Amino acid sequence: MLVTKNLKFAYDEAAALNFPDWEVASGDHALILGPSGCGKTTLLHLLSGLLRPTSGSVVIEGTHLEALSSSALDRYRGQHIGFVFQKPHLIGSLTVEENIRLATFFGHKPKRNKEINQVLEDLQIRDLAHRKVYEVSQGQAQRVAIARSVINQPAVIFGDEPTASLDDESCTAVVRLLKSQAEACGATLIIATHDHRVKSEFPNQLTL
Amino acid sequence: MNIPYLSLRSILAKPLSSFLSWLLLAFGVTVVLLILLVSKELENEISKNTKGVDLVIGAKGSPLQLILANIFHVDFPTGNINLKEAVEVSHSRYIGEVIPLSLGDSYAGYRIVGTTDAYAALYGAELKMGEWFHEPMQVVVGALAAEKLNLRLGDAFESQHGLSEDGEAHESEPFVVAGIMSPSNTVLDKLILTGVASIWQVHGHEEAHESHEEDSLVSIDHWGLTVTQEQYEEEQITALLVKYRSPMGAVMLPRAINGESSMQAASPAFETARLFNIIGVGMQVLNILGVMIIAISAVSVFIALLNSLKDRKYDIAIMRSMGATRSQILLHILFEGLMITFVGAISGLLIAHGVVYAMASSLEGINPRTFYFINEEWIVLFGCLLIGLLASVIPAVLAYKTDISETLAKG
Repeated sequence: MLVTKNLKFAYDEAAALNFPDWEVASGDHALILGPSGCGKTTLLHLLSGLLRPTSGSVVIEGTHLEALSSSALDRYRGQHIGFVFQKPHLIGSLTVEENIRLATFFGHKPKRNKEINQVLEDLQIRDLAHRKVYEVSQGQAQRVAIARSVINQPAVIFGDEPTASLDDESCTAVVRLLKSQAEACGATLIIATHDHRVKSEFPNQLTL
Repeated sequence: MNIPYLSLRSILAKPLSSFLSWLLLAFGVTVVLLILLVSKELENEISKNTKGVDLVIGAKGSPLQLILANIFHVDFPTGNINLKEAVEVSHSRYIGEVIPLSLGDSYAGYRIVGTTDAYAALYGAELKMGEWFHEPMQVVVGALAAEKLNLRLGDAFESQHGLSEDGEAHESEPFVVAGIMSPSNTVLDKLILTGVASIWQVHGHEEAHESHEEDSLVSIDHWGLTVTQEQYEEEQITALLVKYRSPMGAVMLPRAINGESSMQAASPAFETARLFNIIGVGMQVLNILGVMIIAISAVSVFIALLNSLKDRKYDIAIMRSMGATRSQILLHILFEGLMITFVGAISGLLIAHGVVYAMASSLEGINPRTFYFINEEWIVLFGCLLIGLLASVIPAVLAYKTDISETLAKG
């Protein structure tokens, strides 16, 4: 379902990054591994359409991302892709529930009250729904971020070091949640990390 | 969830800087609109009260004072002129209608004006009850004066000498209220009108007259007045309100009177324009101040947005990752600036109208038209929105250009 070919990205002429061709099957979960600064995040951004490759192609379920116009790419991202970052990066002026609702607005999937309630329930953050985001703990905020990434039932969920700043216990919990939520909405999970604690969980691994 | 809501929440999330921007704009708009409304109201009052009067003829002195005393009834009269001389001057072929005024007495702070029926007719005043003055010592009271003094038909009162409340009372026969006028929203509302002869009678000249009952009468037809020969020779009045017969009057009459008689002639239009020039400087300074405050408010909106962009870089990148287009981000920031300026401008407008109403209600003689809107206000509102747009366009474009991949990679 996700296929890359001759993927190349250059910030400038001297430092071009060439990525090996890679394939991830639908519903499969995969890791991008490697030390800091080797281009994990760059690859993740290329795969998710946040960044356009210098050359080569990224195909998700038959859609060539590099061929989409800028606004079509934005729309595609909103509808088919979810993100979880190292820090939750919730919108500070909104409540927990509104942060999740915002994803449905930008993803052009309005009126998902039932789904929002369900995901709040599943991630055990229902009590926090109307709290301001600065009132919740780091671990709770990360759960909100996960809820936000799955609410539009995306085809792919990308995680960029989602466990790096968590202790062992939270790390295991987040990985478990990500997997179960991805499976619940039938999404493919792709995580870029240098965190060895999560290695054993994923058979499909790409090491840069 | 929509873009304006997102902008609103963002404004509310930083209440202090939003409040400052709002406060500055509301204050600036209040100052600018206040000046606009007050000067419009003043112009309106002036044109209402000078309507139909081309020239005021009275005793020599300050021409502005002559106008203020005899048209607006706010200043003291310049003095008196001889009836005979006034009648002779009024025979000029340039003069159309003439209304004599005799000032100098008051009752409890409200001025008593000796005049003819034509004075009330000049402002189109109508009687609410009673009848116009026909006999000596009959008065017709303006609507406001009647209400404030609690005067009813048939009431009698003694006038005071002078125009202030502490004037010496006349110990003569009292005035009797013959009629009460409906509100005309002109200066008439706060006046007490009576016949010219009543004023003379109060001042005690009448006694001399009574021994000359056989005196021949002099009819001053074009004034609508008949007086005795002795009155004609000896009495005085304060001023004549004149309407020209032809436009040539404006050229010939003032020069002739000012140059060749012991009286002076002043044009209400000219003198009020001069008055406006004098107070215009102060108004202009205030106006510039108001515009500067609005400009400062725009700068504060600009700085607030620009500052918040640093903190919101991730927010913007995250929204983009969720599918927001560049245009949606642009709109989000623009709305934020526009909402603050719009609310600020509307608040300023409401405050300005509130202040004008409060001022007008407490000022005697100004009749407030509470919530009338003038065209210039739309220009001010539109200008504010334009300024808000200008202040937010640079931050919005910067947000539009945010490199999401780079921002998120650093996060």
